[in-house]
Amino acid sequence: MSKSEKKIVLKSLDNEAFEVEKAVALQSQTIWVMCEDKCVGNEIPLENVTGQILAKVIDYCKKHAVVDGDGDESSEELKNWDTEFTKNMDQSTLFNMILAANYLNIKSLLNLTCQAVADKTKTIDEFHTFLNIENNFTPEEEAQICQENLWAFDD
Amino acid sequence: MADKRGRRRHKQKHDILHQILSFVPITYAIRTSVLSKRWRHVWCKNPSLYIEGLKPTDQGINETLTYFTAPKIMSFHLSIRRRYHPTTQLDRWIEFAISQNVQKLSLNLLLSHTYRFPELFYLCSSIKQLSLEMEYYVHNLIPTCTVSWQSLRNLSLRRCRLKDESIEKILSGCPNLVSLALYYCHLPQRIDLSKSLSLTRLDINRSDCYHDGPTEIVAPHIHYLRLKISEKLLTLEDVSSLIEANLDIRIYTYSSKDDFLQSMVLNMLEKFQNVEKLFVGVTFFRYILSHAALSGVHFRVLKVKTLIIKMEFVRSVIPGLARLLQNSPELVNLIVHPVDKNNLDFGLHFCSVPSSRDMYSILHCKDSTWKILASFMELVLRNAKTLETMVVWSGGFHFKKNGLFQHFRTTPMSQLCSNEAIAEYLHQ
Repeated sequence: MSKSEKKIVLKSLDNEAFEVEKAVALQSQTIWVMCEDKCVGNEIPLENVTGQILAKVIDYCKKHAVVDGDGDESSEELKNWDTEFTKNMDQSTLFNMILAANYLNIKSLLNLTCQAVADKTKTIDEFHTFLNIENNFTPEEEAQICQENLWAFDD
Repeated sequence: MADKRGRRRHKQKHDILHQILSFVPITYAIRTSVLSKRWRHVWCKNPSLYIEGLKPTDQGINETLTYFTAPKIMSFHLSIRRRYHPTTQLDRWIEFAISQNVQKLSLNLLLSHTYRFPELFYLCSSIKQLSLEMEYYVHNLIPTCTVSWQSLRNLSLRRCRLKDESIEKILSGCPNLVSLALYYCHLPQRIDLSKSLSLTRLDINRSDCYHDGPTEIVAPHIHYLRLKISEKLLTLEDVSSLIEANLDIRIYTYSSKDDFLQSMVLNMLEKFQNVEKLFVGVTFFRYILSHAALSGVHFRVLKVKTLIIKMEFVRSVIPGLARLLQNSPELVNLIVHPVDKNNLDFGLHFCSVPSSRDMYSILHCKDSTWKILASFMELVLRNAKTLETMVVWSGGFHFKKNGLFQHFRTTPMSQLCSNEAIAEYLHQ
């Protein structure tokens, strides 16, 4: 990897280009590997991420690149920032953020977004909506499964 | 084509659900079995198990473990609050996790009866990360056999009662340990880390322990140390490789004991000969360093390059801070986090001597904070020789009004510039 180039351009699925510091982008293991392998130039196409989501991912990476190493006080501040970051995201943004974090391999962002979904999604109906899955059990079958794991279903 | 896209979409959702299931308690995970026919058994194959709360009955946990079909468990978290569980049950759950080659094991056993871990637990070679919480008034953590945690890198013990021989046995069984955290533990008399060559991070919080005696720490290899301490004696025998230190002192009553606290903390500073990054809090200045400075007690010159301080802008912290800055000739970065009254050590509001801020607040002129902040920045800039950056975070309770720059207009800017210092004001 060439050390002289400090900036890098990330290009989204819908052809939106973002110029970022290398230190910011390299928090993604996927991008890191791409740069390491020299398989790309200074511009990295990210075929699975839209511009809208990529902008958010970059916000996250910027925040986490700057504050790193300031000691405990800032880690507390960072936690608050993280909470605010996911607080107002709607379900579909969160869904796409998880996919992006998974594809880009940014572990801390993946954990953060999954935790946010886990906190917001408590009922099975909410899971149905979030994952867009249709329930194809008959009421009898569903009752049967509940019966098998009664302690988990019993409120 | 559509079929292929459908399969890809399903796989994506499948992966997402697995990720999310690692963060939800087992009761919610099991409920996902009624999502749809295709999703019925997803939770059983999830590589992490998170059992928490009052809900799981012994029988419920046992049934869950029999359904579980993941080839291996990455992470197993068991947190039980029922106070009583038969030993055979506890043994069974822990042995289950170990038989699946668990890597991350977290056990919160808040039992009201004594429990001894099975031998197998101390011999588990797959654990990389172990976190243990017990009730120290009922339970001694005593390994019954030799400990062999060959892969263990991070060990965190909370509310465990540790005897000298237990900690010795544990440490000798973890040759690859990198970080050790002891929170609210009943500590032994001596913690000797001189044989733990890879252990570089030590984190001790004993800020609310009432029952333990003095402890001495021998840790010649650690690079990072975080100490949260109160009035209980803790001495650092050897921390000669230490580069980064975080010292947080909690005091609950302000009394003659402070002489003792002062000598304990100054003795610690003596051992910080190679520390380059130091993080200290308000109590450190107000009740220890300022007292020392005013009574003419000397302490060593440090090699600190980065100083991060959490302080309240009151006059009583200034003598201590001034002395620390004088004793840090190599300082490059100074980061100040102002704290307000709500974040201060509780109990100190009832302190017999009110601070200057308390006085101002009695007189209803909150604006004093700005004056003190401005005079503090002046003091720093006037004395700084190598300082390159100063960051002042002016958020929080006392800084709501945008008053800083008004005060700075009254400060001669030529003085600021002559030091070639850059002052950055981050408004939030």
